[in-house]
Amino acid sequence: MRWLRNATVYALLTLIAASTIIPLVWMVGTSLHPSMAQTPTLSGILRPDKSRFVEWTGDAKGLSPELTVAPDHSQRIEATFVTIESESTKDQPPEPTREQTQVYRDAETGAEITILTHGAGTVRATPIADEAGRRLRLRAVPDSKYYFENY
Amino acid sequence: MTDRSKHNWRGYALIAPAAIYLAVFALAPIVFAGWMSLHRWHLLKPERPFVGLANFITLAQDPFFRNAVWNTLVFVAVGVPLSVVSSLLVAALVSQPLRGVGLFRTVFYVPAVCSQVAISMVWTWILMPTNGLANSILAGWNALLDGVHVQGLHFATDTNFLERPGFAMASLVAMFMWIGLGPRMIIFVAGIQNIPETLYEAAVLDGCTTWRKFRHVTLPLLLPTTLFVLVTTTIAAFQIFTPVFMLTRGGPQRSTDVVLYHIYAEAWQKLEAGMASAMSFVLLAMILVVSAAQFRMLRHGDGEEAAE
Repeated sequence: MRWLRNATVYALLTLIAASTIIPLVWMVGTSLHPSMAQTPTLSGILRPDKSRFVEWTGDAKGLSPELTVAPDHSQRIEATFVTIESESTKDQPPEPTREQTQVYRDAETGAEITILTHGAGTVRATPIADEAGRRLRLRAVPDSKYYFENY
Repeated sequence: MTDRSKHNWRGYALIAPAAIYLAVFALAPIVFAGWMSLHRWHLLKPERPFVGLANFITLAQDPFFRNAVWNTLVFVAVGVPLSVVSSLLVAALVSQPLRGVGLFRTVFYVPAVCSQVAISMVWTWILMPTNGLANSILAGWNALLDGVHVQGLHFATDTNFLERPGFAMASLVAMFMWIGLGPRMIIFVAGIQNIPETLYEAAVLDGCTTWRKFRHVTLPLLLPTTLFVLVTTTIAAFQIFTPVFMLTRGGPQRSTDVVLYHIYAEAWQKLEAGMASAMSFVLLAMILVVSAAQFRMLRHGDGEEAAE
């Protein structure tokens, strides 16, 4: 009967420990969510909404969030972002996919680089010039309202 | 100067820093608060007339203050026994010679080292009517009952715990128990570990069961520890403030408006420092009376136990 007594003690201790630790787990879980997000549900507590860069398409290909292009001819480059939904928002109607277009025109060559963005993110274009020549550095940045820049 | 007076002089010199500290930071504020309580002392008005005991008479006639006193007494009457008994039971469990109980002791102590403000925020989210953890757990319970086709034991899953008077007070009691479980448990564990093992061995030889060992060996020998825990828990319960401030602000319908929160509101919202000081003295008197009664009751019980 000793094993039964020990098992009962362990079961009680585990139950009390769970009720002690669950609010703290909840605290950690809520800290992962964006400040203006809905109150997370029990099932979505550890899976907050987040935005993620997916890929470059068009005249450039790649999965890295950084891309460097030479502004020697006109190009059309597309960046795609996706929003990963948590349990708290998955039943809500999805937000319409946001589309943005920005055009960079090179002063020397006159080449136009058209950058299209799909989804919750932006592309930051920075011209650079060094011994390797003039280039345009593109950086895909998920929306700042999401805490995770999950590249 | 004789040797004895030299010795006394050195002793006074050694206790002087602590005595000065106590006089300046403990005694002087109490005396000053006593002085303020005898005046009509509004923080923004230059005239502060002496009113004698008028503030105390006003308090006695103030239904809101009487409500705050009642709420505090209810909180103490419910929260203190539950806290002390639950801590004692948990201490008895973690004092078992089992592997891994140290881990459980650590887990139980964790809430005590967290900021009460942060903890209160978390409890606000836990108790929210939509998506709150408490309602989610109740929904899980309902789903479990549905799974085994049991009817009649279901709970509502959209309860706004902080907007319903009874639930709001119960939530504060639950939080009070949860935060203080670890520290009280540790004190009880220390007390249990001080009980000589030979007494338990003698009890076993006399044929005592586990319950009888707990009742006739552990509990009587834990009486000084229990008295300490009881008094400190009672004082902490009388001084409950942060969870009230963060969770309910005294609501709903003043059902959680305890004396300390009432003092805060009087001093820093109405700016009536004289009245707030008078309230502080009433709270001090309540704590002294209840603590003295606990001392008396438990010492009396101790005497009876010894007589047996």
